[in-house]
Amino acid sequence: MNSSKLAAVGAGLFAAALASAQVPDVLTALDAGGRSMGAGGALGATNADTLSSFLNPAGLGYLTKAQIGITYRNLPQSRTSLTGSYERPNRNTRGDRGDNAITHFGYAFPFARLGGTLALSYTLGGYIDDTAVTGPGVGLPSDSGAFTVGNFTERRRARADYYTLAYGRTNASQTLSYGVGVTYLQQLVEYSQSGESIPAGSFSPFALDSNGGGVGLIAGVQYSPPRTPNVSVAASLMTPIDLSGNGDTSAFYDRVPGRALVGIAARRDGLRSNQDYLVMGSQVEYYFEGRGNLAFDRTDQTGLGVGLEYGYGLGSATLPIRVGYRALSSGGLDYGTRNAFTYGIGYRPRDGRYGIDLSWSKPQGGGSDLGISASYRF
Amino acid sequence: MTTLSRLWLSLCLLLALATASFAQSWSRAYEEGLTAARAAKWLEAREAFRQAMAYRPEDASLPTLLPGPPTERRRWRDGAPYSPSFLAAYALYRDALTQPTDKHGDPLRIAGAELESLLDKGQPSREAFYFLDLIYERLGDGSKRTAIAERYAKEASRIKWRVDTEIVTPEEMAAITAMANPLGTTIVRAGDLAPTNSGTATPGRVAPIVTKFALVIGNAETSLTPLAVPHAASDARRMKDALVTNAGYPEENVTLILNGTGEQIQTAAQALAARIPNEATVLIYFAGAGANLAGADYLAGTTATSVTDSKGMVAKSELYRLFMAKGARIFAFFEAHRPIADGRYFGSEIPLAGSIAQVQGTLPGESVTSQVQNGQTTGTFTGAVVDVLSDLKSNRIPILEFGWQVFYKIRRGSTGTTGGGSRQTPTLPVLTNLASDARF
Repeated sequence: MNSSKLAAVGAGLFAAALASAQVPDVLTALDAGGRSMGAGGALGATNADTLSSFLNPAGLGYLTKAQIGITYRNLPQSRTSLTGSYERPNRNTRGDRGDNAITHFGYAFPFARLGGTLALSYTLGGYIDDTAVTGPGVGLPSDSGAFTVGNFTERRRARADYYTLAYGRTNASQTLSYGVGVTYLQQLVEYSQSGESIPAGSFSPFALDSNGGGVGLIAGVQYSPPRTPNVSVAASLMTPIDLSGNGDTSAFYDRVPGRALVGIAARRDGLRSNQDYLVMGSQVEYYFEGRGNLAFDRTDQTGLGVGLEYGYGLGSATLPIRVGYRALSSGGLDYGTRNAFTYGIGYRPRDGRYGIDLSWSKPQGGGSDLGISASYRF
Repeated sequence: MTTLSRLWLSLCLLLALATASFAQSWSRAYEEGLTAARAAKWLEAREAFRQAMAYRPEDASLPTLLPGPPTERRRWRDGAPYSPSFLAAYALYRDALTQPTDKHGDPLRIAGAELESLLDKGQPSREAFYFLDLIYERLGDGSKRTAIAERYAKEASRIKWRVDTEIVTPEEMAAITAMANPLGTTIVRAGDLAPTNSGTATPGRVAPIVTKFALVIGNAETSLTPLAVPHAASDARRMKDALVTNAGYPEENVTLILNGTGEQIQTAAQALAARIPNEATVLIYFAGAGANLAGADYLAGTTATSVTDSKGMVAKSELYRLFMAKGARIFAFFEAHRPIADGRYFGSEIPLAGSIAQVQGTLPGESVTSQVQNGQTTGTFTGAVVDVLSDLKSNRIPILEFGWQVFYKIRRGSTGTTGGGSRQTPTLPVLTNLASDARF
C-alpha cells in the first residue's frame, strides 16, 4: 500500500475525531529525566550538566570538571477506547506507564587550555506508544453502514533518539555562556491497523514502520547579570529536522519540529542559618514547523514549566527537594495536553562529586512517570 | 521572515555579544597577582592587584558568588575573600623587605598608609594590624606603633573582617593566629611576658623523661659560603647541653652531629629512629646551611657543593619520615639563613602529615645573626633558645609559649620586660597536627 492510498484510508479515522481525552502529546516533548524533571522541567535551559548538550549547550560552558550523567525512567504509554464510527471515532485516551529505559547518557569534559566544554550524549527526546481498541465484541461501523471493522486495533508508536555533540564556553567574566551542537536524530515511526472486516474484503489490516534519520543544529546562550549573579536567563534553539530514509511513513511524519526554549531561574542562599538554598525557575518551550499528518499530525506546540528546588543542608551533603508543574499543549490533531504536577528528591555531597535524583509525576490524563538520574564528576 | 529565521537572527546577535565579551576581568588580574606573588615578584603582584581594583574596586570579606547556573553554588576561589587592596599593600611591604635599609622607608610608609586606610574604611583585620605593627617597627616609629596597638586593643573583640591570606607566609599566619587566640596557658600569656628569672641558671638538672630524644646537628663547615653559619657547631653543643640540663632530655638520648656529611646525618637519624619507642618526643635542631629545591627543604652536609643540587644534602622530609614511622611528635628548630631565590627559601616546606612543630631562626628573606655571649660567638636564635630553656627549666614545655618566649628573648635579651627590638625575628612555631600547648 502506497502512502497516498494509505492517507486516503487513514484520513477517515482522523478526519473529525470526537475525543473526550486524547493521546498525551510527548511526540517531540518528552522530558528525558534528570534533575529538572522533578521541578516541572523548569530548570532544563538554565542547568549545567550533560543534558545541557541537548537542551541548551550554553550550560556546558559552566562545567569545570569532566562529568558523566545518566537518566533512567519509564516511557509513557496510553490506551485509547474507540467508539462511534470508523470514519469519526470517539477517542477516550488514558495515560499509562510503559517500559523503563535509559533515556539519557552523556559525557562532558572541559578543555583546560582551550577553554570550554565538549559533550557527547544520547537523549530520548520524544516518545508515543498508543494502542486504540474497540470494546470486546464491539466493532467500528462505517458511516454509510457498508462495513464494520470488528475487534479493531490501531497502534501508533514513535520514538526520537538524539545523538548530540555539543560545545559550550563562557566569556572571561562568566556572565555569558554560549554553546552550539549538532544532533543526529533517529526517528522510529510505526503505525498499524488490524481487525476483522465485516463483510470480508471491505477493510485490510496494514502495518507500516520506518527508521528515518536527519541532522539538526542546536545553539544556546545563558546570561547572568553581573550585579545579580544568582539569576540566570537562558535560551536555546534546535532546528527542525527533515527525515530521510523513512520509507512508507513519510506521508505520516516527515519533519520533526524545531524547538525553542527560554528559561529563567534564580537562587537564594542563606536560608536556615546559611545551610539551605532555594532555586526557582520557569521555562517556556515552543515546538514549530514540524510536518506530519493523520496519526502524527504536527502543529505548533507550547509548553510551560514552573518549579522550585529547595536544598536542605545535612552538613556534609545536601538533600534537594523539588516540586513543579509542567503543562504541554496539544501539538496535533488527535493529540491532547499533558499536564502534571512533578516532585523530586535528590542527594548531593558537599563537594558535589556526584548527585542522585529521583523524580516522579502524575499527569492529569492518567499514568505516572518515575525517573532516576545520576551524575558523577571527576 | 519566518519564525525560524527570526529566532536564528536573535541567537546570532546574542552570540556576537558573547564573543565581544572576552575582556580582561578582575578575577584574571587577581589570579595574575597571586601567581606573581608566589614567585616573589612583589611589584608585579602589586600592579596586578591594583589592576583588579580598577575592575572591581572594593575588597570583600564574604565569598564572591560567580554568575552561572543557579542550580550550582559557584563561589569564586572556593569562598575566599577578595582582598586586592590588602594584598597590594602586603606585596609592597614584602618588596620593601628586599630593599636595603636606606631604601625601604618610602615603600613601607606607602604600604602602611594603605593598610591604615583599610582600617579607616571599616575593614579591620588582624592581618592588617599585624603588618602595620611590623611596618612601624621597621620604620622605628614608636608613636604609630603605640597607636596601632591601642586601636587593636579597642577593636580586637569586634574584628570579623576576613582577608585573603593565600600568599601570606605560614610563619606570619602563625603569629597572626596567636594574636587571635591568646594561649591562656598556665605559665604566661603571650604579649605580657615576664621572664621567670633573671637568666641565672638554676643548679642541677631537670628530671629527664626517658621518652624524649633529640637529634642535634651543627654544620659550620660548608662549601656553600653565602649560607655558612660559622658558629653552627658551637651552637649545637650549647643546644645539647641545654636540652640535657634544662629540658629533661636524657644525655644518652641526644645524638650530636658536628660538621657531618649528608650521609652521616642520615645514618645517625636512622639509628636514633630505630631506638625510639612509639610516640616518643623527638627534638630536631639544625644549625647550618639549608636550601629549598623544587619546594622541598634540604639540610646541607659538609660535602654539599651547590645550592641547586641535593647531592650531599639530606631532605628534611626524609628525616621527619624516619620518626613519623614511629608516631613520634617532632619539634624542629632551624638556625639557617633564608634568602629567597626564584620564589623559594629554606623552611617554606610545610609538612602535611605527622605531628610536627617547626621554628625558624629568622623570617623568609632574612639571615641569622650572631652575638657575643660569655666571650663566645653564638647565634642569636640559639642563644635565645638556650636562655629560655634555662629560664623555664622544665621537661614539659608548651611549644607555642616557648616560641613567644624565644621571640621576646631575642628582642629584649635579659635587659627588661617590655618593648624591645631586633633585626632578627624568629618565627613562631608552625604546627602540623599539634596543639599550641603540645609539650616537648
